[in-house]
Amino acid sequence: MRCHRARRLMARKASRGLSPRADRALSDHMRLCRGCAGLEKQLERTWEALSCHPQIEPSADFLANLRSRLHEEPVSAGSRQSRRFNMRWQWMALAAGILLAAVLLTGIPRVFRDTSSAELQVGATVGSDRADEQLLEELQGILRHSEADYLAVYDSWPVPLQETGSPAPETKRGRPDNTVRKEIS
Amino acid sequence: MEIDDPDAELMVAFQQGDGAAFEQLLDKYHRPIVNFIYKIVNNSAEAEELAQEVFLRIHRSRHKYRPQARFAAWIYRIATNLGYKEASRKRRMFFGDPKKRASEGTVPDAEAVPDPAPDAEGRLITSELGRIIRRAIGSLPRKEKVALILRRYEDLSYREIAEIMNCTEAAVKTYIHRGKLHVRDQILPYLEKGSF
Repeated sequence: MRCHRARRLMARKASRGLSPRADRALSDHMRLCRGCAGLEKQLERTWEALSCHPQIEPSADFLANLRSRLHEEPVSAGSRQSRRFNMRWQWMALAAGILLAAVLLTGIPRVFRDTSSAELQVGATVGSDRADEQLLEELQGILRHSEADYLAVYDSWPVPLQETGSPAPETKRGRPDNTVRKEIS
Repeated sequence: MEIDDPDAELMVAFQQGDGAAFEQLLDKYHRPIVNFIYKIVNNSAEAEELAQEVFLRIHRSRHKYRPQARFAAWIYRIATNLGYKEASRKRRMFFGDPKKRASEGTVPDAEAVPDPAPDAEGRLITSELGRIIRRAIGSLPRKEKVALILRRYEDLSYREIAEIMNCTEAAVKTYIHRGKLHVRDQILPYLEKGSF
């Protein structure tokens, strides 16, 4: 075993442990390699040397200061927390207002424009009653057109489904579809 | 699940309104917490300030405490989080100052920020070896530093450290091993001389 492999095994041994075979291989390497054995000893001595870290003694007024802060705590913390809570709500309300305004100003007209056709846009922008009526007529025209498309699909269904006395498929309004056909025709 | 921990019992008593129980916890933990934070931030005045904040937070959030883990693990978790925040704030301050960054040219370590309270520093039991170890620990990456300090000085179990650091026990052991290697590199000349 090479030293770099042995050092990786040392790290793995420290974190997750080793299989008996790997542990034996590492021990064999340690017996033969002075460098790796030395590293292991150095790490042990490093761990012991850490005890030399200086300890500090808290200042004489540490506890007195802390107690005075704790004494003020219930009132100040409560008021600070409620103030923070109120501030947070104010910000959230402001953000919600801005968002709503943005949706109203930009979102809805855009949706409206997207759903209408290019010609309808002209009518929609005119503010008169006549323009509104025109817009309504054109919208109805589009609806009729889409219903006709729907019926075209229905017509392409196999014949037995329409004529074998099985109930006709229902529209969204709950009426049999042939009623709709009559109305349209 | 409740555990057999006298400090947890004191904390529960404090939750129920026993102020004397909190005083006992304060007496027992204020020194270790100041020293723990001191090892993280490497500054005695900041360590005292942050230790006060730890106890203030415990006082404020006493109703949130559940005696499912040792009280020590809970208090060290709060102290670690505060220490992390302080370290991040220092790093932001350091990286925010281009002149300082240009002059130093390295990632900041605890030595980069001078201790503003030399009088407090005078209270240290200073020694050459202590200074070397302090500098070596101060130069450790954050996770390695916290794992090593909690294990070596605060005697917490790997499991407790893993809970505090939000990682696995294996990760804690890896951090500690890397930390040991890092410190060993720093103190190698002294190890070879036999100073330790």
